[in-house]
Amino acid sequence: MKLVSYLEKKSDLEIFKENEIKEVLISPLYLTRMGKSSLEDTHFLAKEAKKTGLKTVLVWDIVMTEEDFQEAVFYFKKIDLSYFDAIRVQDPGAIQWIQLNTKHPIQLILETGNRNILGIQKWISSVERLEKVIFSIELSKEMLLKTLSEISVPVEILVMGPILLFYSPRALLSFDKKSENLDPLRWIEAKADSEEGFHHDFKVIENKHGTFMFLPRELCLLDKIDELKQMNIESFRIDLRHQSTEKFLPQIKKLIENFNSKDWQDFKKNYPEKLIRGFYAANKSDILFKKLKNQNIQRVDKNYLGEVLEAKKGSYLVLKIKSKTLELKMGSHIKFKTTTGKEVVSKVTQLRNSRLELIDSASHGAIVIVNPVNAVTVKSAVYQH
Amino acid sequence: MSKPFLPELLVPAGSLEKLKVAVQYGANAVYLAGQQFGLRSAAENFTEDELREGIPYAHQHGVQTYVVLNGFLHDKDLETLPSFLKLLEELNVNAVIVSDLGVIETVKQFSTLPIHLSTQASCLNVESGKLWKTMGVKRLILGREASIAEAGKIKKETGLEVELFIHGSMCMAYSGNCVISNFTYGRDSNRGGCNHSCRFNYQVKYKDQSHSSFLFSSKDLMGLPLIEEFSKYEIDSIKVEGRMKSPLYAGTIAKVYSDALKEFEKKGTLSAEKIKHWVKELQKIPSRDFTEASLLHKADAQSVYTNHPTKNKKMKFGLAGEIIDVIENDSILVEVKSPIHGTDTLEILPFEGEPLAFKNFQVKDMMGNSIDYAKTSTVARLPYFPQAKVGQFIRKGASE
Repeated sequence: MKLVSYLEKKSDLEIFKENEIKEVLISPLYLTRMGKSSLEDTHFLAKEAKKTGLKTVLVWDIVMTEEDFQEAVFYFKKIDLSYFDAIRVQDPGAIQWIQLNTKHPIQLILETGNRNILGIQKWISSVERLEKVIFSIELSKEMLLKTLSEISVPVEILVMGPILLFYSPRALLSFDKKSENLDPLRWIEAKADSEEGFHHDFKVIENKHGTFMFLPRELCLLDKIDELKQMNIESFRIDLRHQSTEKFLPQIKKLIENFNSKDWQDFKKNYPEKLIRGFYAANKSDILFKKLKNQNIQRVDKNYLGEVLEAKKGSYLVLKIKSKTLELKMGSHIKFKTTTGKEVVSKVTQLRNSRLELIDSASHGAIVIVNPVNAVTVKSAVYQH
Repeated sequence: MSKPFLPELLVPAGSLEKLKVAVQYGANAVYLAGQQFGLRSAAENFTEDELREGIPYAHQHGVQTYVVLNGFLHDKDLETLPSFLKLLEELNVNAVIVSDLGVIETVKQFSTLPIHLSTQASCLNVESGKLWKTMGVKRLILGREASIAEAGKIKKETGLEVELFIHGSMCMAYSGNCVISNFTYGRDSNRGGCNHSCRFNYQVKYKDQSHSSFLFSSKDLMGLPLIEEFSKYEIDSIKVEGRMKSPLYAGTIAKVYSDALKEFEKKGTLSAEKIKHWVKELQKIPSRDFTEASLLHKADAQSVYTNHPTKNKKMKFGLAGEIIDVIENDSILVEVKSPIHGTDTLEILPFEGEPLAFKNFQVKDMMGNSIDYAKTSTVARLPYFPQAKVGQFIRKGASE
């Protein structure tokens, strides 16, 4: 297991060295979502990190339109890759370009989507010089274990850091502030409280690449670190870009090395953000889907005849026959299933067509009038009984 | 004059009813979902029986059918996918829309269905398109951030078909890159549970000021005036968003864009006057105002919808009902969707051509008795018009 973190300033190098960080992620302004480093800083940080004996990784994780892509490639070509040991990418365009135009090992970010083994395996077999894959924080412990058992490439997960919720290319804070000119070097921050939900203090950042919104709580799996260590995960990433590295990295390193309850409580008390484990325990984010629509009005039965269009109490029902194979017959028994799930069976004692003529049967497409049935409402489904 | 390139008009079919509406009002292709695997869990979607009816119906009318399987599926979701693919293949579905590589692999393993890469994969550049091509994709449904010119370049340099959204609601985030619902409401937005938090009002707190804002909410896309551009860059398919929207929405959008495409095919250009007329028609259905978003240039401040999402939702031209039967020389039967009075000005929306307006008529109930007005969720008899056809909508003039 090794620790990975983001290098934004030289002064962090000493702290990284003291706290067992082995691999640093360097984020050029023009290639990285949260990137702040100029070309000069990118080279300087990478050179200094290498001198300290750290592995250096160039991060290119923006999503790009063709115009953005051409700009990114123009910039990328100016970077002296000899300072870097690997390149980390997400956009398939960047993956493709890096494969064809460099000889560097590739670290593949699979954090967006990629929640099944088959897809992850396909990425792994498709990318040349693949050195590592970075998993989504939405994989539960169970999914992690299963996936890790079926792949052979080293894996990295985030164990401590902010949760990115939203990534838009539009300059939403500048638009909101009615700023007229968009400075490519801008870095605008705000906090947002939902006035319609119950969530407050979403961190919002805007820069050259667009607008990013973060959950008010940060992901922290430090209290699960011992079981994570058993899982054969190669790298644990610590993202303290929104916090003080100097203050918190030593505490985090201590917890990773030797987790104990007292240090853990102290850490939680001191850390400025609330901490969550996200979906680590379980991912049941589809469990509410059945409640999103009325299951009672779904057409599911082979005896389905049609639907009630009007229910005039004590007078008549108007039905539309929708079945292509079944007919509604005078004297037959039919079952109504109401929108609340109630089932009512009734005999057809009166059957008229839309010209009000008495008929014996009706087939697909017909609009018919039948005798009224108590408790049957509009939209009830009609079945042969 | 050589014949202009005509894109396919692809319209959403959130239910069997909407599929029939889209087909009748001029769609060249429809996209729809079964009960699983898509991104609209709250939409009615299609049961197996409805797929068995809807897909042949579309094909009989010369309309292509694409089935969405574009959720970021988990391992357990993939277990039931093969049997669904068999059904789709049996029904001769024309393509499936997929965003996840695991789903692509499953489709390839269990069927020969053509694969369209969903916008959810945010494919936006040539190199990305080339990589997806190696994965077996036949068509790229590009992210809404791509311009028409970029889409044309991607088509040319990848050799793949390209599809671009032309109308409808827009995510503010790159598609697939928003998980607000996942972490705030426990609903996976990338498997159909999006709760539209971006439409909420937010108190935005800067260092020096604080105010209330809908900063994350986008206006709706509307690219009708750019049809010539879509043609110029030979965009294969222009897509309308909105499987959750009403049948009137599906019908109106299909009709307006279909009319515009037919006019463009005939004349090779669209006059400003005609465009104005069609845009006016589009404005008759609820929207969050319109923007061209990134179709020509990167979306700017004008692309943000700064009003409450419900504010502009008042029906400018409400749906009065749908014609369910035409009794020759006698009457038309209307399934009433909002009250109809004899003094209302109504419009029959034909499948092609101009609406037919009428007013001062007698309203009768199903049994032929005269009534003051027809209530919602009843069936009314209105006067007979030879032009009326089953499936056409009847609109009611501005209620505001």
